[in-house]
Amino acid sequence: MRNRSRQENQWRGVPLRVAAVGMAALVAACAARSSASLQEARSAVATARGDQEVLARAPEELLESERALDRAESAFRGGADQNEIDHLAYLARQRAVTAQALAEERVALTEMEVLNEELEDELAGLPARQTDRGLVVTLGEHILFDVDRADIKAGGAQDLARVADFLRNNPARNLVIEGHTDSTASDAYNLALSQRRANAVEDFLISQGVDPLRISSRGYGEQLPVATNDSAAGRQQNRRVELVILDPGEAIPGPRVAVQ
Amino acid sequence: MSGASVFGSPWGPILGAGIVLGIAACAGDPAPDAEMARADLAVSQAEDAHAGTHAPGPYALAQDKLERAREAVADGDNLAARRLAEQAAADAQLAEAQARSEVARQNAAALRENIGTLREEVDPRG
Repeated sequence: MRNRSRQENQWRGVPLRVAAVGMAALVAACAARSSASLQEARSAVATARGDQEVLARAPEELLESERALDRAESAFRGGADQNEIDHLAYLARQRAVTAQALAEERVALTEMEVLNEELEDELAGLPARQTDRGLVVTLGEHILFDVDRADIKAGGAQDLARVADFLRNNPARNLVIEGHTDSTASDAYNLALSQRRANAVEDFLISQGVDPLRISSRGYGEQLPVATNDSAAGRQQNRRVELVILDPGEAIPGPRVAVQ
Repeated sequence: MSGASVFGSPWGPILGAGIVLGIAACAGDPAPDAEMARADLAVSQAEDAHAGTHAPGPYALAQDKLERAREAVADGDNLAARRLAEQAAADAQLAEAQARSEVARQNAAALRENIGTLREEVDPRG
């Protein structure tokens, strides 16, 4: 028993002295470290966590900030140096504030959706209908143009001004302008005429402040009738301009193909 | 395996951790390529979101830290460079989120106002 205890003491002595020095250094370091940055991070995360909108709309970003805070807390408990603690705490704090900003953005975007629906109702005064192509406003040729003229009539200008308003309020929505004719006159003539009419509408909207990059104007001539060309009433229906207001964010599609 | 070793004693793990941390700090940190690339991307995304206009505080911080990270890499201080790059990315992401939020709020406010105006145009009686 005596031999073993001497042996134990021999082995104990050196490492314990080293351990004591090491511990003293660590204790000294612990005493000098500040948790101020950590407090800020805790506070920012708690604020984000307590915000109902953050919980509802930015839960993943909130989770990321909580994980970042955990890493900072671990570093603090584990005896990391001040720079590392401050660094991790800073990251956690920024993530928490980012979560709040993201939630705010999403609240505003939801409000925009609601307002857009209201704005579409405002177009109810115009002949607009929702189709799979988008919101289509159909204006008869006789509303927009005098016979043989390419410029827009007063009544038509009012309608187009409201479309321009709508587009300016909804910058994420693009527009396709389609000119259509009846089957009187040649294909080539109708194609050219319908393109000129579509261009005239585009020019007018641009003059009302709509960004030209958002607009595409196309002439389809007689290719896409909506009524029979055998009656005067039908032909009048076919002579039209369609303004296709695309869904928000949707890119301008390629030209339509007439079904023969 | 005689008697007690330092790792069997209560001070063992604490000393062990201290040694590991000490070694980690002293050993050469790798060049923070991934962190620099992330920071670069985050700053350019913030710029796309017009953070310079709508969130100038955090955006300026992000740019400054990214620049200092590059300097730290040039000086061979990879630890400082990594931290600066990580912070630059966090600042840039905050700037982007705040800028988007500001733009969305302005758009919603403008839309609210315009709907009111439109309604008056259509029916001045309200």
